[in-house]
Amino acid sequence: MGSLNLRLIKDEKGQVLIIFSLLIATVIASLSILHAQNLLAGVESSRALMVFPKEDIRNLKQIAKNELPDYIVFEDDLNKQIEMIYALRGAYGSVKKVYEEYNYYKIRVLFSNSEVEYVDTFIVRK
Amino acid sequence: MNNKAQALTLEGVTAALLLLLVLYTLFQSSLVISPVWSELGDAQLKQIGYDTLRVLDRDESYNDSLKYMLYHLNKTDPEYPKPNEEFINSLETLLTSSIRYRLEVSWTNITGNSTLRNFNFIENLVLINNTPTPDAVMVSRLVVLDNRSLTPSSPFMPNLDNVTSSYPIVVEVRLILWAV
Repeated sequence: MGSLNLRLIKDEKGQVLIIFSLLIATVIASLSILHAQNLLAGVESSRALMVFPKEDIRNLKQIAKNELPDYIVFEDDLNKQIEMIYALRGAYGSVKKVYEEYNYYKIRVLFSNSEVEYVDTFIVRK
Repeated sequence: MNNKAQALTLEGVTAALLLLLVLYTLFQSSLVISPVWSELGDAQLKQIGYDTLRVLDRDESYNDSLKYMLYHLNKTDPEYPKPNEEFINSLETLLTSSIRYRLEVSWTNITGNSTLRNFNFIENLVLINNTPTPDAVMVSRLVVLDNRSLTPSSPFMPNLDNVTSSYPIVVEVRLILWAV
């Protein structure tokens, strides 16, 4: 009995096995964290892509470029109506003239809802 | 001859390849999950709707344009508020026969005169009244109309005194779509 115990203690192979299994466990754990993060990143980016109100912004820009120069006297009235219509959907949109020269307007388009806030300023010929 | 070292090298190479393969799979596995949130609904259907409205929103000289349709809505018309035939034909061609739709418009009720205007409330009108299913999606587009091109019996005509120049009327066209 005594000699057997002595032999087991002297055998150091088990310690190496434990060390390696710890190493592999750490690797698996860190890989699983990476995997979870990849999953989250995928979900978030596809959601952000889907939710972005690109059509509303395009619509506002088109109004700013094609319609606003024709109704510049009633700029505030145009904006008031846009605001009221967007307010029904919990969003805000406006197309405002921020600067004017003899041959162009500088127009700022603003759109915001609970997800996105978008501001763009550009020049429109008179 | 001792072949042990060669076997070890092969094992090392295999282990390295295995690790690389696992890492590559992990980095490539970013899932692009199609939306399941109710607000997003059927993303493809929404895109078709937006494209349809964008195609139809063209110069009013075309009889099937949004503007022509809105300018020609007339309260005295016996078929009011049904849009003109050309518009409906183009709309149904663009949407294809597998998509059903409902069409609504909203605009601001405006009263006042040349110095002061009151924006009272939003008016709604259902142009094509079909009942949507629960999985329907909504798309919309803002169209700016000119009050001088409106007929007195147009539903969009604002009640304004002494406004002689072009006055903008913003109309929201809402298209509710669902697949059958």
